[in-house]
Amino acid sequence: MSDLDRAIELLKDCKIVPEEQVRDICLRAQELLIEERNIEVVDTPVTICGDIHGQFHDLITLFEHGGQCPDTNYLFLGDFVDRGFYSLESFLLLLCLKVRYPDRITLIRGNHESRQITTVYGFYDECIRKYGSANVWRSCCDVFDYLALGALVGGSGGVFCVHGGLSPAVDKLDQIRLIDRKQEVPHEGAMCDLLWSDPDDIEGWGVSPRGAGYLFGGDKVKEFNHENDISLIARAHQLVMEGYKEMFDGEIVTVWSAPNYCYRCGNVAAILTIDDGLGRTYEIFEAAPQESKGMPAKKPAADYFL
Amino acid sequence: MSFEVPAIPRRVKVYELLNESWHDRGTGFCVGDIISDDAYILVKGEDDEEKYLLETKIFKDVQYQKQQDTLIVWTDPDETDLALSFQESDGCTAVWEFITDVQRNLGLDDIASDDINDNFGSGSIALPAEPTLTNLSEVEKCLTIASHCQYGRGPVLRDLIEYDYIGKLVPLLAMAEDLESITDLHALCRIMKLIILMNDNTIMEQIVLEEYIVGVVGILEYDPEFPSFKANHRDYISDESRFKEVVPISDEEVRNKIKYTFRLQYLKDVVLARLLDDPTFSMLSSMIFFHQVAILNNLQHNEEFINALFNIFDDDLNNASQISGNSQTPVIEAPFIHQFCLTAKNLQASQRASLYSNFIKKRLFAVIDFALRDSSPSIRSSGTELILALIDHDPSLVRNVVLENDNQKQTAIVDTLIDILLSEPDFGITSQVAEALQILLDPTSGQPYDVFRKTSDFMVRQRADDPEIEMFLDSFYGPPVERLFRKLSDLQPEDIPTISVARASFFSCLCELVSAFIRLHGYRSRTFLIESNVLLNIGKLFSSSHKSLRLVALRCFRQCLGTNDEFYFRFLVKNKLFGPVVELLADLGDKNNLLSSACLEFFEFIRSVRISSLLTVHPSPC
Ligand SMILES: [Mn+2]
Repeated sequence: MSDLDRAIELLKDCKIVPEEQVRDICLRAQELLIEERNIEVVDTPVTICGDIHGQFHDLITLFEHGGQCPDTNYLFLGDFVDRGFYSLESFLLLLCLKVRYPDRITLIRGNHESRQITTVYGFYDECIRKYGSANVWRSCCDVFDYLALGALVGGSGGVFCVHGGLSPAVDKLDQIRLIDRKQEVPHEGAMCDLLWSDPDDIEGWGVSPRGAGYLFGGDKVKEFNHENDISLIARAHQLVMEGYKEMFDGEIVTVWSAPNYCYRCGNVAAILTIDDGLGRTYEIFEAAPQESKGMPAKKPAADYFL
Repeated sequence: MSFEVPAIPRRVKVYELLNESWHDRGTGFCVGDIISDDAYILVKGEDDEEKYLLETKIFKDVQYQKQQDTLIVWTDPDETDLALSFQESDGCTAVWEFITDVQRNLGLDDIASDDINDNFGSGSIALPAEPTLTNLSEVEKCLTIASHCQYGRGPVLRDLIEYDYIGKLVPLLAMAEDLESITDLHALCRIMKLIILMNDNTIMEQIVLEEYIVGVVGILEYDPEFPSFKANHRDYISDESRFKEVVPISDEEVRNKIKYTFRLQYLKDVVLARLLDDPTFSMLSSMIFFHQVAILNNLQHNEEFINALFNIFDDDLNNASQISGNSQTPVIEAPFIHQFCLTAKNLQASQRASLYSNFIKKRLFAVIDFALRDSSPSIRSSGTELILALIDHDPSLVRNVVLENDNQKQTAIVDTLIDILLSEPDFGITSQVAEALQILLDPTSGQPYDVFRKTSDFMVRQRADDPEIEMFLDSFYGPPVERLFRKLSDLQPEDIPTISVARASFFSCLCELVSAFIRLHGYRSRTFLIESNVLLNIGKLFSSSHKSLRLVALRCFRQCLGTNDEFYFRFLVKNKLFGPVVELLADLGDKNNLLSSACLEFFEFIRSVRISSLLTVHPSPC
């Protein structure tokens, strides 16, 4: 059994791997990710998953429903970390699977894959609590900078996948190619919008209440899809109580994969499989029964002085 | 649904609670109605038949109360407190029966049953004064009702405090455990959760008291939502050995506060992590914050304590210098000061400033310097985090200390940082040190509390004409910068193929500093980078097999373009440094990946901002 397979076994039990190994995994992941396009091309059939947000046990449930990697080809739309109590285990498991089966799993960047956001919404604190230093957080953030910004599933007439949505700076997919993506998510511009924007029942572009990215209307979705020969935009980024929600005559869908978000929202989760004929199959799943795994809790701090 | 809908309009006044007093929303006629399977209470205006004074759905989870004979009171899910005051009692009864029927139909259990309603007659929910194992279900019911409406919360909170409820519940734990009554234990746990979610800080302060805390977390061990799982919070929280005193703290109140804070933190992060709603979470966070402020303020003004603390260091420093070559930072003090300073990050800027400068007077930098040279990576890491905390807080404060030290020929922190960067095997520490150096040398970081600093790459940077930073940069752009980048200025073409993975990380780190310095230091960095061959040698890195290294090298050149400085353009052209970039792009061929995108962005930048001197020499390949 290789070190990597051992790490995967550890992580599947929700145990953390030693710091040196995390560093090694992150470096190997970077070597792979640097070869990926800004908009990575992904073959069908593929199962598309939305936000995970550190809900490790639900990620395990997701794999039980969708099939294990590498049996199923996966595409994760970002927001692996923050909010849940197991951001570290969730992200590292996905990353290990990426390194182990590079052609069977694609990870793209969400707005939470950022130094600034993770210091506020939990991932940073979790790393400090679990390792006693910020080193692992730094290594993970270095990987975030390499993640692709989107994916194109099924070639022409296919599915454009992105965490947030559209940008007024991007009419054609080719324009995304000109972004040097290896950087912290900026506060404005195309890269920011792709990770932050939301569809809304408006016309044209609107100011986003999130303070980053834009709101975009059905007309913009249709223009973009027509211009780029796309039948669907698959995105995540917004909680949907029913797990998924199609809008604008089914030309855009929000997929949400964190059931009972924050352990209390009471929503179900969904994953979307795109088959070779570009047909869509949604699978709904509920929060993992926790009894078998013990109570989800944060780890206590070690010794204290203050 | 099979129940009577009160179709006869009953005259009623509608009240809404605003700013703690009831406001008259108008008089009208009340009926019940079923609209597509939802039940509603509707009040049509007396004067305007078209206008609804009230149109509210009956929810399963809302606690409606009937008071006296003519009043119905509740809190809508949108947090509006409403009351209907009926003219006649039979009107009230008809609507009340409708509500209870609907709720029963919606699957509500016996919470709204008649025996509880009797309690509403007096206008408040009566909590049994003495909780015992026999009346737990009554206690739970009262708390459930109170927690569901704003109206009942106040009186119940008063009772909880007045009756010393926490103190009375805690002994029940031992009784229930003796009886092995899991039903009672679960009920106790549910009650404790309800009390905590009342979100009251007086009660929370009681919970963390020495005499109660163990009992409270004990009760919370029996979570009915996880019947097969039992935590052992009691062992953890009563383990006093976790509290380490480096220097004994004589003040009993401070000692207690430290313990309270630890307990609150444990409650927030562990025991209640799953349970907490946002308001309770933020209440706990702010309680922890105010305790920490009080503790730090007290300790930092306690001369005796601070002197004792730093004296330990002095002793250790002396011992270490006697046994030369065997430097070993005391294992506890460094983490303590580390935690002290990191906790101080939460303080308000002015309080933090006085704490840090007080520590600096006490030779904090000697301690850091000592920690940075320790043989244990975790102590070194503490040292780098400390220096980062100080630099993050106020770079100019640190720069001043460095300048003073230069005059006194003492150890300069910049030299130490460079030493670490050049020799540290632990990559985590190296990257922290690089970050520290970068902030320290950033002239725009003079403003101490600029939260946007780190991410302001797109901001137009203005040179600060601050004499202090000028002096600081002058001294840096002497021997220190040469030492820092020596490995780059001495780089030979034959070195490139043998660069190991670890070495590539090191060179990446240096290149990122080069990029930053190009952006930040104008003529100073330009003169150095050109004269020292650093920029020329970065061109050699394009032939490395490490893709990440090629990328950072490209970014150095891209940064040169961004300066819009003709000196850079001429240098790049004269030394044929666009060659490696064009070759890199040619090498990549049809490949579409991060590197090719970075190359395209490079040429697109030249095209879009029309750097004419470059466009004429090198026609854009785009
Ligand atoms: Mn998101």
